This record gives sequence, structure tokens and C-alpha cells, in this order.
Amino acid sequence: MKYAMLIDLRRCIGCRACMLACAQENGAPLDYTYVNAGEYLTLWALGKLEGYNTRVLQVETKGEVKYIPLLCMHCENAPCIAVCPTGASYKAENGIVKINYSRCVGCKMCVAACPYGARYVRKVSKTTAPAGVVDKCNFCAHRVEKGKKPRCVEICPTRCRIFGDLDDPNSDINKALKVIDPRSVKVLKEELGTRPKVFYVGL
Amino acid sequence: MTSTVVPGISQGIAPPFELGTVIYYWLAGIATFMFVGAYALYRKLGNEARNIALTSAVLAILAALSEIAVLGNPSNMVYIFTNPMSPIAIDAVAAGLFIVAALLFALFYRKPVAAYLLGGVATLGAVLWIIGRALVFTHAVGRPLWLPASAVIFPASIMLGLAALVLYLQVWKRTPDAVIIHIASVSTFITLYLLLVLYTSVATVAFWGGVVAMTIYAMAYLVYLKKPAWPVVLTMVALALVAGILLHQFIFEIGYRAPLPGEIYVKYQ
Repeated sequence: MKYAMLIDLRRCIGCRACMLACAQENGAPLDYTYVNAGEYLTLWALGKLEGYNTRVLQVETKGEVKYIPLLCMHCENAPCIAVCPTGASYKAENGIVKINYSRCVGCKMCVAACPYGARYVRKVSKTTAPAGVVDKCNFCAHRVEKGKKPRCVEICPTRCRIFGDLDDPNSDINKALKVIDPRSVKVLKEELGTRPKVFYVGL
Repeated sequence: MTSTVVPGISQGIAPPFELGTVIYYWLAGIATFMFVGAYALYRKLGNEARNIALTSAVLAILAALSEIAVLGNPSNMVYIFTNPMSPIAIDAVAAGLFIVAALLFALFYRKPVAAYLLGGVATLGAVLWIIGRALVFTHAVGRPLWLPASAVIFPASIMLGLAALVLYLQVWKRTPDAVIIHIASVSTFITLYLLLVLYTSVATVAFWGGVVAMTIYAMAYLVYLKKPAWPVVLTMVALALVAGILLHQFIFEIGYRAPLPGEIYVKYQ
């Protein structure tokens, strides 16, 4: 079993419904929710960017506006797991990169290691995670393990997020991949060798 | 599938670092390389080497406490060695090695064989402590060495440690050879500006480290050296500042990176 997500950017309208749904489902922070690439870079460079589980990045190139939803890439070769001293970050059998909050020491090594900026330190505690530990998207594991889809996938009005098991030929994601030109399917920062499990179409 | 780099996606912890982390790097840098400098001058320093070793060990303990203070959930420290190849685990081992060896060095400083051996172990611990995190981190994430912010802490630590050693010796009237001071100060000026200009991600640490290091050197010169050294010091500082500003502008000019908010860039017309 290997869960993955395909995001069709040609369909994304930047409505933020996924972010709101995620925040509701996972208690994720919603500060700086809607920023363009330049603003994002500035906030990041100043260290003022709050964490998020999923975020919609607005990129403007040559007058064209594109929305890029970002989340944990659930990398096959996850750097966050390699640097975690306590074993709090681990890869579940279904391919989801998870955090054992009761083991997280809050050293932020994984935050530094993640090339996608997917991790953040929780400032507010939630039922399962105290403040001070690191958090991120977990593909809504609590839902997925009950056979449901992640909340962001379920809520997306344009169905730009497609989720499923790569090992299951009948899964939604495999069905979608069959009809999409493989050359148009991309991952972020492939050169780093992290082998992300979030794929993009229309980058 | 081809790769695409989306602007703005994090390449590491963004500056400014948390205060506790800055203090950690700061104290660790001073502690380790102050000791290494004293160890190199062991025969010459005698009793002072012992005092410096003790001071270094105390500073290292304070650094470790500072790092623990910034942990989000320090109660889980019991699991810290679950992954011994984590940079944090390497840090803990190296820091422990340095502290214990430095304390033993102070205890056995009168016995040359033991002192050299223990000093060597402490030096190994010092280098591992300061550079180990960066190297392990770099290896773990498969990125170039210059991207993780901690990679450039190593030269900054050498400078800070030597600066602290010089200050220590100056304060206690044990002035080292003028050649050592000159070499240390010139290397400080050059390296600091390279760090400041090329690696903005550690600007907070490197810049303020540099400001303090330069202040220390300037104080050492101005207070303890002969008056004819004044013009030399002031000229060096002025030249270093001008060179740093020009290099900074050059980096923006060639498009190596864009200026961040607050950074001044006067575009050449």
C-alpha cells in the first residue's frame, strides 16, 4: 500500500477551501493563508511564516496566475525521518510519513531538513498533539485508515486533488494517471532525490 | 517527470533563529575554539590553559542548557539517541565528549602526556560538535553543504573562540604573540564578510558574531597595544567595511540572490 496524491493545477482556482477544511479537521494554523510567491519568500526569509498543513501558493509569471497547493510530500526518501533524533517521524506501512507526538522532542531538525517547508512547530495544542511538537499533513491518516479520503480531497470543489493507493490499479489516482500524459506529471525538487508522493499536473 | 523549483519553498530554518539557538551557537563556538586555541598554546600558557579549559567547559554546559531550553518538548529527551545518526544525537555526543575531556584536561593539566591526550579528545569533540551537525545534516538531506545554515557556523565559531581567547589573555595580561593576533584578526575580517554577504541565512549569527569579534579585537588593540597600532586598526576596519558593502552590492548586481527587506541595494545605472 502506497498512498499518494495527484494535484491538477489546471483545475485549481485558489479558493482555499482545502486549507479551511484542513484547519477544521486537523487544527492546523491559518496565519498568512493567502500569499503570492514573492510575499511567501519574504515572509519565509524573515522567519515569519507560520506553519501549515496545506497551503495554496499563488504564483504570477508573465501575467499568468497559477495556484499551487502545497503540503507534506510524504517522500519515499524522507529527509525529515533521517534527521529525527527520537524516531518520532516515521513512515507508516501505507507510505504516509507520520509523527509520533509522544516522542517528538521539538528540536526542529525536521523543519530544517524538509525542502518543501511542510513542517512547523505547533504553537497551540490540539487533542492529540501538545504545543511545542512539530506537526504537518498526514494525509488525514485518521480518515484514510477508515477508508475515507483526506478532507482536502473531499472538499475540493474542482476535484483538482486526487488521492489513492498507487499499489491499487483501481484507485482514483491510478485511474487518473492512466489518462494523463506522463510527461506532464511532475514532482517538486526532484533533483533532491526525496521521491515525493505528491504529483502535480500543469506545473 | 522533470523537476520544478517553486520559488519560496523552504531550504531550511529561516533566520532569524530563536534566541536560544543563537545563544547555543554563540556559546558553543566560543567554548570550543577558545579551548582549542588554549590547547595549541598549552606549553606557553601553563596554568592559564587550565583556567581556559574550565571556562570553556562551563560555557559549553551553558550552551547545552540554552539548546535544551528551546526544545519544544524537552521531556522527550529520553528518546534522543533512538536515531544515533541524527544531527541532534551527534551534537549531544560531541558536546558531552568535549565537556568531559575539557574538564579532565583541567584536572590533569600538569601531566603533559595526559593533557595532550585529553586535549586532543576535547578538540575532536569540539570540531565534531560544531561541524558534525552540519555534515550529518547535509548527508541526511542530500543537499549541497552551503545550504544548511549551520554549515557556516564552523568558521564563525573559530573566529569567535579565538577572539574570546585573545580577550581572555589580554584581560589577564598574558598577551600572546602579536603575530597570532594579526593573523587571527585579518582572517576574521575576511571570513566574516564572506559569511555575511554570501550566506544570508546565518546573517544573524555571523553578522553579530562578527561585530562582537571585531569589537573584541579593536578593544584588544586599542587598550593594550601601543599607540602606533591605532591607525592600522582603524584602516583595516574601514577597508573591511567598504569591501563588505561592495561585495554585497556585487552579489545583488550579478543576481546571485535578491536583496531581502531591510537590505540596501543601490542599483548601478
